Amino acid sequence: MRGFERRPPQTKEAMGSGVLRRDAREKVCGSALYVADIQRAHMLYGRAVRSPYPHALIKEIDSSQALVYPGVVAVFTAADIPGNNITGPRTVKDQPVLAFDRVRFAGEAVALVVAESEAALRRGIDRVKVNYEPLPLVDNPKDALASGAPPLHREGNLCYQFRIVKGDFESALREADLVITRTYRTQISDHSCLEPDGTVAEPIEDGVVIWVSSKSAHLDRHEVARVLGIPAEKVRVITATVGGSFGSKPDLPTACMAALIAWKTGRPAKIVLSREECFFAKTKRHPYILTYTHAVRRDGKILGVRVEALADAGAYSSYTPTVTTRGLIHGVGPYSVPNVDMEVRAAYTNHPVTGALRGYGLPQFSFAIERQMDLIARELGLGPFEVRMRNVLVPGDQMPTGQVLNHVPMREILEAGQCRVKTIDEQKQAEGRSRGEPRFRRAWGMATCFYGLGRTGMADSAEVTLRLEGDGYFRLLVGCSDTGQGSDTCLAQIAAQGLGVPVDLVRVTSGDTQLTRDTGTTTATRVTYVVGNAVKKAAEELRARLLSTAEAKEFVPDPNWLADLAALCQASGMEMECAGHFITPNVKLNEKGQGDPYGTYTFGAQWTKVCIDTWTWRVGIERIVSCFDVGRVINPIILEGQLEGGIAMALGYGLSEEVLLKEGVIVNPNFDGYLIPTAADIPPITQVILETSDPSGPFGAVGIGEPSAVPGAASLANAVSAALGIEVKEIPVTPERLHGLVSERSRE
Amino acid sequence: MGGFDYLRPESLEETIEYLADGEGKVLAGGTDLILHLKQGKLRPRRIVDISRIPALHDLREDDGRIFLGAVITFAELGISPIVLRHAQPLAQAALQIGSPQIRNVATLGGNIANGSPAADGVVPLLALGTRLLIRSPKGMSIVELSSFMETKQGEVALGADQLILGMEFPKLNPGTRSIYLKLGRRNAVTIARLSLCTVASVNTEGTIERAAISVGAAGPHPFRVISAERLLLGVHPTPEIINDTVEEISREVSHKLGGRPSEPYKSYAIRGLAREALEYCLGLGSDGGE
Repeated sequence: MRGFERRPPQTKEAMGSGVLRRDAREKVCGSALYVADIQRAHMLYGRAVRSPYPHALIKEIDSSQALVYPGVVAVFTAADIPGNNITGPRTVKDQPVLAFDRVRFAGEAVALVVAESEAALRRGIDRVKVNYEPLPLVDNPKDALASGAPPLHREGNLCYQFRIVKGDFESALREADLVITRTYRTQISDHSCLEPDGTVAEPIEDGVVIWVSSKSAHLDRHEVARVLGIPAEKVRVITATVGGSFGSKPDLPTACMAALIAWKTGRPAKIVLSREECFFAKTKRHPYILTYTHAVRRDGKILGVRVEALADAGAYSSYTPTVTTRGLIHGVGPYSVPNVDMEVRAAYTNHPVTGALRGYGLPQFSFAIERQMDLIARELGLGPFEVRMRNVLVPGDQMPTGQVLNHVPMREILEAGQCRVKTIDEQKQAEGRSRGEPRFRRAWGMATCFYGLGRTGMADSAEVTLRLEGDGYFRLLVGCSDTGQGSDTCLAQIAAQGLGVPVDLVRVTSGDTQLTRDTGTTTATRVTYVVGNAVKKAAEELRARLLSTAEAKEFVPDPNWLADLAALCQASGMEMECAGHFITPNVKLNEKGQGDPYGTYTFGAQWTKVCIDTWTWRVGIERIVSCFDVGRVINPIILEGQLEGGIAMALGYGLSEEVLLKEGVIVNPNFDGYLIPTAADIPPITQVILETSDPSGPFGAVGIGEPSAVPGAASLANAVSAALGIEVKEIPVTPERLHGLVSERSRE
Repeated sequence: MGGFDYLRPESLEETIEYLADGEGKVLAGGTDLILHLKQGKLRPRRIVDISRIPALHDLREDDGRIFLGAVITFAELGISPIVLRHAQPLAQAALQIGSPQIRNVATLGGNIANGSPAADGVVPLLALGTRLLIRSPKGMSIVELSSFMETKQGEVALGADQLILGMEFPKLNPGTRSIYLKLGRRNAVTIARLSLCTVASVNTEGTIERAAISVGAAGPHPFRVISAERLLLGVHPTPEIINDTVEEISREVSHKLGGRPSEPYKSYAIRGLAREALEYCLGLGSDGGE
C-alpha cells in the first residue's frame, strides 16, 4: 500500500488535461491509414451499378457485355448472395444489399461489378444493362400516407408512429391566454464526411476480415455474417482510421458487398464510394413537417404543447423509429410543460433513406420549438431570454415522459451565456460601431438544447477490458471506434484517472471485433457517459486489485513500480485484467410514452448574431456564444474542437445545406452544389463551459458530440427572424427564401 | 473516362497541327475539362496539353495595352503587379475563384473557352473591353470577347481547330475606378450566383466619360449592359442617375432570365451589387454602406 502512496507525485490529473490526441501525429504527418489507403496483394475492386430511377421494377439484368470486357472478373446480383440479402442497423431489417425485384430510391444498388483495376471497373459498370420498368413515384410523406398511394413495403407506407401523452392538453388550451400554432419545415441534409465510405475485405481460412470506416464494428460483423450466411465469429472487423462519421458509416450494403467479393472470389477486395455515391447511397437527415401548438399563460408560463410531426423515412426504415422517437421525447425542449400531446409519424417514400445524423432528429424539433419560444416572447413582450428563464427545467421537474430530472443546470447555462452576450454588446457599443445601418441588419438569436445520452428505446450497456501488460503499461480495449472525435484519447484519460496513473501509461485498442468486447456503437453521444462509466469501473477495480497485490507481496516501491508489479504479477500468475460493465438506468416507455428514456442528459444553449445584407439577403454570421455544461472537462482541447465542429455543422444546416431532389433524384450530389460552411463562413466562437458535475457521469462528465450540433440552426433562424421582423418557418434560410419572405410581408 | 492520345506540344505551330482535324481537345488547366471527361460529356480522341508553351504564359504591358497569355493561372493573375495596377477587377475576380488549389492550375483562357454563365474571369474582361487573339490553321484573328459569346449556354465561338492565344485590353487610366463584386452562396470556394463589374471615370468637368458594366451568372453568358452604360455617359454622377442605372441593370437581368425561378431574386440582388459598385466607382457613398 505504501508503494502507491509514495509514488512520484503526479503534476497533473488525467481528467481535464489537454493531452495530445492519440491520432494527432499520424494525421498531421499523413501516415494515418484510411480505407482508401489500404492495399492488399492481388486486390480486386468493386463498385455497384445503381438505379437511375427512384421507383422501378427490375425486369432484367444483363451482365454479358460486362463479363467479356478484359479485367472484369464478376458481376454479382442478389441471386449470388449466399446468406440473407436483407440488412439494417436495427433488429427489424428491410434494406437489400442488392435490390432484387424493385428499386425504391435513385442510387440503390442492383448489381456489383468486380474488376482487376479501377479502369476495368468503370468499363464494366457501363456495360451492365439493366432493364427497368418505372413505377409511380412516391414523392413526399403526405402523399405516401394518402389512400391510394402505391405501397412501398408489405406493411404499407407508414414506417413508424409514436405518441407521448401527459396531463390534459385540451384543458391547457382552455386555460391559456395565448395560443400559438405554426407549421415548420426542414430539409434533407447530408453528413458530408470528408472521407468517403469504404471497405477492404480479405478472405481468411473459413471467414473474412474487413477493414472498414465504421462507427459500429460489432454491428457490422453481424450484418456481414448474415449476408454471407456464416457465423459471426468467422468475420473479423477492424476499424480503419475514420475520417468523420456524424452518425453515418458504414453504408451497410457497401460493407457487405466488399465482404461478398472476398467470400465469392477468394481474393481481397476494395470498395470506396465516390462523393456522388456517398450522396446517392448513404442515409440522410430526416426532413420534417412539424406543426406546433403552444398554450401559454399571460405570465409566459407554457401550460401545454401539442405536436404533430411527419418525417420522411425515405425508402427503407434504417434508424427511423429511434430517430423519430428521440425527437419526440425532446419535443418540448428543455422546458417544463405539464400537458403534452405529441405524435410523430414517419412515412416511406422513394427518397434517399434517412437515418442517423449528428443530433439524431433533434435539430429539426429544436428549430420549431425555439421559433415558438421567440413567438411567445414577442406576443407577450417578454424577451427571448426571459420567456426561456420562466420555463426551463429545474431540478425535480418532469420530462414529457414523466421522468424526473435532478441534474438540470439550465438556468445557470442561460445566465452565463446571456452575461457573455451582454459583455460583447457593451464592448461593441464602446467601440461605437452599432449605429443605425439601413443596409445591414443585425440581431442575436438564441436557442437552448438538451440531449439524452445513450441509445433510444433501450437500456444502453457497454463492456470494456482494462489490463496491466508485462511492460508496465495498461491497455484499454474498447469495441467502439474513434471516429475522429477523440474517444480513444478521452477514454484513456478516464482510465488513467481511475487508475491514478499518468495518461501516457494507458494504451488504447478500439473497434476490432477480435480483440475487443462489444462496447456498442460510437453513436448517441454515449461514449463518454456509457462507455466512460464502464472504463471507470474497470480502472477502479484494477487499481484496487493492484493495491491489494502490492500489499500482499509487501512490494517495495521504486520509480518503476508499475513495471515491477507487472512482472511480479506475471511471474506469480496473478490476473491483471478487469472487465468494466455499465448499463443505463432506463425505464422503457409505455404506450403513452411514459418512462425514463435516458440515464442522464447534457444541457446547453447557443446565441448567434447575424448581419444580413438587405441588398442581397446574404446572411453573415457575426458572433457566436455557446454555453454547455459538460459536467466535467475531460480534455479541453478536444472539447473545444468538438464544439466548434458541431456549431459549424448546425449553422451550415440552418444556412445553406440542402439535398435537392427533382423527381426523386438528387440534383446536387457534390460539394459544388451542396454547400457546407467553410472556415471563412464561421466567425470565432466564444465558448462558455460550465462544469456542474453530473453524479451519473464518469468523474462527473457528460457527452457533447451531438448536443453541440442541436441549437445552432434554431438560434440562426431566430436571429434572422428578429433582424428582419419576419417569421422563418423553413430552413435553410437561403437568400432566395428570405427574398420571398420579405416580398410576402411587403405585399401584406 | 474514355481512351485518348495525350500530346504536349512545345510550340504553337505543333499545337495547331494537332488541332487541325478537329478531333483534339485543348487542355489548359484542366479543372473543367477533366470533370467533363470523367462524366463522359466529352470523348475526344486527342488531348492537347498547351500548359507548357512559353508564348502562352506571356503577361505584359505594352503601349497602353495589357496582353495576357491564355494559360496564365488565376493565382498568377491575383498577384501580378501589372494586373493589380492596371486591371484591378480582374485581380479581384481571380482571387475569388474556387480554392487556392483550383487557382493554382485554372487558367484565364480556359475560363473563357469553357463558356460557363458564371465564369468569374470573363465578367471583368468584358468591362475592360477585351479582344481575343485566336489562332487557327488559316492564321491569326482578333475577336471581341463579347461577340465570342453570342452562342448558346456552355458554348463559345471557337472552332475545334482554333486556339485562344491570349487576350488584350487597354490598361485602366490612373483616374479610373473599377470593381468586381461576386455574390456567392458562401464566403469562399463558391460559384458566382451573380457577379458584376463596373469601370468608370469622371473627367475634369465632372461628367462621366467612361462607363462599362458587365454582369455574370444571369443568362447563358456574361454580358455588357450597354443600355445602362448609356445612361451614365456624359452626365454628372448623381444619386438619381445611379438609381436609374441600377434599375436599368435590374431590368436587363430580369429580361435575360425570362421566367426562370431565379429571376425574382436575381433581379433584386443585382440592384445591391450594382448600387455598391456604382457608388464606389463614381465616388458617391450612400448611407447604406458601412
